[in-house]
Amino acid sequence: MEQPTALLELKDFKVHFHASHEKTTVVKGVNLKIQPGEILGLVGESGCGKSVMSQSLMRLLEYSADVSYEGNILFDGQDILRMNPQELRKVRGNEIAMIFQDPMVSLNPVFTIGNQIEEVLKEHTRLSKKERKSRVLELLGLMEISEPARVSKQYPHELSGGMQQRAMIAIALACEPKLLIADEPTTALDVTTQAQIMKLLQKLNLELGMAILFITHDLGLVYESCHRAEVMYLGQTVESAPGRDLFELPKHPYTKGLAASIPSLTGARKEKLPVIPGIVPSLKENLGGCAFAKRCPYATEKCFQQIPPVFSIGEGRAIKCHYDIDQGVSLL
Amino acid sequence: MKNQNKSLIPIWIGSSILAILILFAAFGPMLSPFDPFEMNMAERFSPPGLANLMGTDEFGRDVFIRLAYGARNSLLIGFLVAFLSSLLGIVIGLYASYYKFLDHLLMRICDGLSAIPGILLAIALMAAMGPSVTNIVIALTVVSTPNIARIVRSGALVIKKQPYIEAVHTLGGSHSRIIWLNMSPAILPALLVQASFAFASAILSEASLSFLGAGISEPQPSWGSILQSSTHVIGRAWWLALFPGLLLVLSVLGLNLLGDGARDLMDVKLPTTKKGGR
Amino acid sequence: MTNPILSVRNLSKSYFSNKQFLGKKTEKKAMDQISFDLYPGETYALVGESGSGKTTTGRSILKLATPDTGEIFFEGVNLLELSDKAWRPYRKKLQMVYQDPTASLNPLKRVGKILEEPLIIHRMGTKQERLGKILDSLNAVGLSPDHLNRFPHELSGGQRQRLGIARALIMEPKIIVCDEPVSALDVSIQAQILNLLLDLQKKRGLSLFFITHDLSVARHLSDRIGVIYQGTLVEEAPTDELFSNPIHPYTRNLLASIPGKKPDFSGTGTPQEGHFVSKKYW
Repeated sequence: MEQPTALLELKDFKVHFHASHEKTTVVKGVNLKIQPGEILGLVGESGCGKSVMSQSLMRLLEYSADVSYEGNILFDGQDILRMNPQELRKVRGNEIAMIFQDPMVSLNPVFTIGNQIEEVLKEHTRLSKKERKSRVLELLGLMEISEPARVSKQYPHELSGGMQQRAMIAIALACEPKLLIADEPTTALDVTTQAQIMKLLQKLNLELGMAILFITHDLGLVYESCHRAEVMYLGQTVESAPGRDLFELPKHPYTKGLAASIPSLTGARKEKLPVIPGIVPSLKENLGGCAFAKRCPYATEKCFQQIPPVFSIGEGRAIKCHYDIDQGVSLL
Repeated sequence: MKNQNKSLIPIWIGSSILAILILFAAFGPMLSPFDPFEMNMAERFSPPGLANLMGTDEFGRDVFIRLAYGARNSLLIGFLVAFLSSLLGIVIGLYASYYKFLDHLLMRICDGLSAIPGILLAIALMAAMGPSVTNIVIALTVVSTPNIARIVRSGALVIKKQPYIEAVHTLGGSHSRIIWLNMSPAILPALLVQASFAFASAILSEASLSFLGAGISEPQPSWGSILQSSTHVIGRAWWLALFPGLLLVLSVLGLNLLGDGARDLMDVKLPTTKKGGR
Repeated sequence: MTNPILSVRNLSKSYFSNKQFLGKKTEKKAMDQISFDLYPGETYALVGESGSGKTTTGRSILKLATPDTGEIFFEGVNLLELSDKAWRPYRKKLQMVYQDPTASLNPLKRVGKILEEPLIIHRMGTKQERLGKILDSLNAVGLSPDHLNRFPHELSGGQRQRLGIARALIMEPKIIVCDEPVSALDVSIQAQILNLLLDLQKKRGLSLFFITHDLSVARHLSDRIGVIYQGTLVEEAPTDELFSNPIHPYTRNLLASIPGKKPDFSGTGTPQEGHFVSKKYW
């Protein structure tokens, strides 16, 4: 298999939060790669560290919390963690852009959509006023907004949720970033609107060759739109697989549990859904072995004592587990 | 993650200052051999010393004991005003927030009252009713109630829309159960904080009224009237201005520290704050 | 077939908003001639997107919203004609479970007090009997007596929703209106709550009016589904029929928009028994 240089690579990446003399590690050593032009899904339940991780990729957390990092974030071969503020500013918006769950709070309510897109262009490009104006219309057109000229003169509150998210994406794409981080971009939207936004993101990925890190809790969305996906549990990635396989053939016990607990659109109805027993342990708890062992129906003695390494199982698939449950074999 | 980074220091300082003032008011008079009303023309304007800890005034009366009696008046008036205006404020605020038709009526009255500068209103009321401690309490309560009512009302308007209040509706709870057993506990922290500010401002207002001659009148001792007596002799009897001034500053500082500290501490628990840290 | 326990007829409600400054008032219909029946022991799911009027419909049943016109019959009585006071006895029989378990529980009250409040309101039992009922309902939703003295914020999200359900159950209602009870929960917790609701319904023969935006949840839980769009009930059918034979274009669009594996629409294309399709918005 050929190994192109990754656009973004995390090496044993950790994020620690410091509050009143206590250190809480929220991201506990993540390794992952995003290839150019790839849509990578990052799946997990609330509190698994997926949002913290995505925000720390652009080092946005340092403004609001006392954090420290470990490991490397290599973007195009450069380590983001070792950049000075000037270099960082060049990467933000220009090379990596981000969209959030709630477009209404991410957009500035007192400026028109057009103004807000222009603002980004002013900051990062040397376009003239006229060029900027036409670029704004071009971008809004790219978002499949039917009347770009009208929308560019509107304020955020005059737009529907779906239109706001389109505007948000237009702002993010103003400088043609190489990577778009999308943090639950459709969670606040209706299903029909969600379907449109997902289609738009896939189109932009294809046409612009822009890589997307897609953060979500919804395995269904991963199934439909992600080339590859990583599952996070308690600050670690526990499984990585092609997006479709994750939904259809999960391998890690946690992913299996997650997939089984979603009410299906095709299977039996009105029956007990399988549930993952117990609750997510606190991040502060010191777990000797596998993070999921306590809730895992297949756990053995070994799982409580040894942290499982990452095993590669088949093409593009890996799990952080001692066993391949489906085959009934130990992986060591 | 609550109360983690909250400092208790302001609360400690504030309550210590208040405790000292209360002790001063309660036991100060016993520490002094003098009588607050006994004039001694031979000892006029004697500076602070071993005999008169804080000196004497123009009639030779001991300033220490007069300030201690004044502290009783100040604290009593401050407390009563805070208590009564909280009581009135919570009733007005809660009912105004709950019933739309009462809202317009009660809040317009409050608007009207607060359109007049507080001290002017108090002077007018005092002029109408005549000077006495009771009348000062009434006048200052009228001045400070609209503020408290407004704060209770705005808090209650938020709480009223919470689903857990609606849940009591669907359980069949009566209006008074909702207002008094479900809404009022949630308002209490904000009310206590506001009451401590009302306490401080009542002490200041009483001093101002007495300073202007509309409050407690001679020979009854009051911080305000002692300050007033210093105005034309400040060059040779600085202690007449310094000590009451210091007490006023201390008491207001103490109460405000207490209120601010309590607000920072309790805001987290106010049910209006949404889950999740920012 | 048995008689419906709840019959909703022609509910309508409009809002007027003047969006433009000094502009014309625009009328927005939250509910437009909504009619449906709920049978004893049945789960009826009302599915729609935000702003479709599904929540207003649910709230109307509990007198939390007042429709402009229409009728709601429960045990032969038109609930909309009752005064506040005459309503009170019906509160016992019609209960609600909320979307946000955190916001719907009084943060200043302990679990025991939260559950006791409805019993006190309706003057049910002595203190001892009330405690018995409280323990029963805690047990029914999978909470333990240890939770009695906890505050809501000391419970996990799933436990809070269990408590919300216990509060609704404690007066032994006939109908529970569930307003998106699992949409604020993680999938693994959502499964637990759905299991609990299914279990309770089986044991107690409750009728559930289940409001949701999630078709897969609706499919899993319900006997019949109504699809609401811009205030109008556009399609209503038995659950299996709706998924195999969706007819209204909006329903089809909705089904196609669900991420993940799709069911195949292998139906006949004509409405079967119990299938209602509105001609509106075609």
